[in-house]
Amino acid sequence: MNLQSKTRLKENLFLGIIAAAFLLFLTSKLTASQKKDLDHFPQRKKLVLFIIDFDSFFCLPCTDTFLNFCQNLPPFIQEEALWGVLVYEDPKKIENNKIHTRIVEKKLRGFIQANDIKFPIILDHFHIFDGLTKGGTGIIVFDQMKKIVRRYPFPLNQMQRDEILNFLTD
Amino acid sequence: MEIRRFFLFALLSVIPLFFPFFLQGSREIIKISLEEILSVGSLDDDLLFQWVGVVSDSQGYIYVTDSMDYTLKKFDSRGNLIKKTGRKGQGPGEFLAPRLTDCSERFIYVTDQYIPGIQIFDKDLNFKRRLPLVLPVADFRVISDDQIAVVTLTLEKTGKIFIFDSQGKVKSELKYSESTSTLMMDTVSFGMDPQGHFYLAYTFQDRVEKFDRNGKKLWSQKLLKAKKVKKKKIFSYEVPTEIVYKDLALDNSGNVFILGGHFSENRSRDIYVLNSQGRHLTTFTLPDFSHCIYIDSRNCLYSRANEGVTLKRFKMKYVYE
Repeated sequence: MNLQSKTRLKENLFLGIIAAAFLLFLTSKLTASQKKDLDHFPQRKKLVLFIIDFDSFFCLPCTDTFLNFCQNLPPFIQEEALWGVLVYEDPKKIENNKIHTRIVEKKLRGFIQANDIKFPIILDHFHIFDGLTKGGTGIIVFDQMKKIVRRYPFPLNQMQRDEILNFLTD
Repeated sequence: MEIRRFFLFALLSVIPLFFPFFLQGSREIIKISLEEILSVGSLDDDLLFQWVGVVSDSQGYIYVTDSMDYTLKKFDSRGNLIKKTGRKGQGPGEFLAPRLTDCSERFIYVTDQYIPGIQIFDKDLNFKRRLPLVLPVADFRVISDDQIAVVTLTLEKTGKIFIFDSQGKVKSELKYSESTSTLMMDTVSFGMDPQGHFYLAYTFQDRVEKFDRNGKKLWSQKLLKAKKVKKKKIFSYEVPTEIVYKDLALDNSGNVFILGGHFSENRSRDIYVLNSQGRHLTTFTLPDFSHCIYIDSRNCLYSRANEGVTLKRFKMKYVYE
């Protein structure tokens, strides 16, 4: 191999090393951000749904149990994966049914303000979740990756609380 | 002589003009109708969420406890919110479940279902102090800045009204029942007239009674012929689950107003009116369900509407026989 060829080889090697280093750098950067996403990805595939019985609004120990539990959930769960559904009596079953829903909406507004609730709570206008509050307020946890849905009625015992937290942070 | 005749004639002419005033004292009410004069809180505003207790002072201000947002609120006579105080908690001026309220000339008194004692605020809703009471308060009336009459919830089966001083010490007590019946059966709502007589409406029994200030029973009435209330076993205790009388209030003439509960024809809406001797005069019906009634110094009736979102004030129109 003559000198010119050796020089070209060295230049190609040098360029190849630089190119490889650059590619390595790019790849590393992508992996880091994706890695960050991947770290949260399992949790993002989880959902916590509170099925709140409207009658529990008038029972302080009842509301305190699920409010305290909410506040002890990991921040990313509270911010991204926590919803509430307020279930109330079907107005058709009671007198004064025309305004009952509006009354419930107003009381929900007061409850959210007074307890500084950050997660969204939706009124179950169409009474889809009626059957799920027979035992009172409960929590349903969804895990898309593991294809698991679990339901827990309040009040939770310590074992159930630990189980749910482990499930959500697993 | 003629002057004497003139004066006699004038006197005889004038006397009949005063007959209605003399007779009103002996005429009794045969009917009461209500005219709504104030409505506080609507479905769209944030004035009231779940009001529980109400009282009005001598200047016409209205004080209301709201259990949904843990507050004590002050409104003027037109229903404008002047101020509110309180938040969730157990500290001074905080509430977990604010309930009953009453006032003296200087202070507002508030009970809490989950915090013992009575919190005392000034008329600007500044917390002043707490009256230390050990037992939960079922009902209370402020007699003066220095005296409060209280009925407590107790495991004892003897019904008593305690008169506390401003330090929370018992000054006297009135025993109104020596029942051996079940827990809570002697729970009452009560009122006091200016002469110091007590009027009691039992929550879980068909009994309305009057006692003098020495504890002597003056009369006892049954209005509804209600049978025994249903009871439920909770742990080892059997507790009543049906309410006979929800609340009691007195008007400016000493008539007794009693809000009926489960056994009334119009549940939580019928109000039975008795005179001070215990005779049932009339019954009228509120336009909406209520958990309580209150009559202020202007003889206006307050009650609930819209499931606690609205406070109504009514002018009462009396029809005499």
